[in-house]
Amino acid sequence: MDCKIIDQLQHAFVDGELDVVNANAFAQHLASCPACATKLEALSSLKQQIKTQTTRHAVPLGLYDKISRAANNTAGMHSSKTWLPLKWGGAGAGVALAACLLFLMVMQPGQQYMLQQELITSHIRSMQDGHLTDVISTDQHTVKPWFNGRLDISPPVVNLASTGFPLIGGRLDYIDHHNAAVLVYRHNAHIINLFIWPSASSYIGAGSTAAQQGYSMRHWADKDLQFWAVSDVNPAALTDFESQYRNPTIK
Amino acid sequence: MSANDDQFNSLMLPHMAAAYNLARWLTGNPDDASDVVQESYLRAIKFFSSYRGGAARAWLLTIVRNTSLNWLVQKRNQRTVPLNADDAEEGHQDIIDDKVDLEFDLIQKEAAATMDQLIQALPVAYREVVILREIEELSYKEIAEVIGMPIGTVMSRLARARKALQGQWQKNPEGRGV
Repeated sequence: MDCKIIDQLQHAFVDGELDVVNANAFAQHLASCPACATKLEALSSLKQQIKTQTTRHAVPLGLYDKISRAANNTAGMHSSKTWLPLKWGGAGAGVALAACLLFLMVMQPGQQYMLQQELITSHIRSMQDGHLTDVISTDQHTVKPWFNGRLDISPPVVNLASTGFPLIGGRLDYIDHHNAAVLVYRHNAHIINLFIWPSASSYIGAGSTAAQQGYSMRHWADKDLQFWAVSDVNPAALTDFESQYRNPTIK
Repeated sequence: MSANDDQFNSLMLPHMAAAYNLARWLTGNPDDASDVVQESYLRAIKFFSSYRGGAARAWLLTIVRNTSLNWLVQKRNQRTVPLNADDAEEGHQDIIDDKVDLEFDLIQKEAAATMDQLIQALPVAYREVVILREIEELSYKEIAEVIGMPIGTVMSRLARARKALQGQWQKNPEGRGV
């Protein structure tokens, strides 16, 4: 392969779209051509910048439920061949109102899904430069008082460094219409965000592990506080984190 | 609910995040994106019988993409002289024209544009491939399906878009060396 071909194939290469034979030839050329290697480095770096710096716009609250309700109402019409463009909202308004009252009590699977999306988005945002912590400290006696006056809850803060989950710091966030405390822990090279907010609503799946987009989530409730741990560690490590956090004296 | 409806829900609803993100990037604002996503799901229900398996996300995003472009055409027509309603569908072609000069005239003055601003300033034909590839992580084949173009076109647009982004991103001040 010459430099001209490399130039044409570099995008397919960084995108993992080259077949094995071409990818090998490509890599061989790179090893012997510093100019092309530099170019490729610049391209992968740009790709990384685009991936991390571009906003992934989150679905507005309520849209998911609106659409899934409408999907269920409209479904079946396509087969009867009487489908007409429906104006959204109108006919279902009364139903929606009743449904809203019900939803105050119990979380719907759709809302649960959106909440998880919100948590992941916040987790990803926290990974970007300078967004991870508002207060940086490995000292629980610094982090805990920091939340005083900023939140109407006082989240339990423990440092779990001795069991492999050192505390890095904390920050404020806004999740599911609540101001939330976020404790930031590290596990090897991974970041764990632990979101805590007061809520009596019964989330589905307390004590359960969920996974979305490659992220693991662990949810539990304690008294009137909701806990959601989000990370890219494997689910087992997150379960371990939960038990360490809830029983910090057990070493 | 019939089995078919269950199938629609379990196949299509999980991709709403991708659908909304694409609509938001193509329309450029949250209200229009919400409308486009709702309309797209209605269309998806309507045409679900034509879904032949395969990547559900790419199938849904094809609808979202076309609905977004229709919306852009309509919006442009509202702004300028009223045209025949028939022109809306045909109007895709110049909305999506990739012959335009890839210069960032609009943001040239700004000292340090964010990546969001740079991508939003890309013409739609380039913006959509960047979002589908880098944010939604679709394969070239899937992107080709969504935008209804050959894979070669996907590759050349992606290359040109990245080149334009790279040139502009490098102009940014310290700490952004690419």
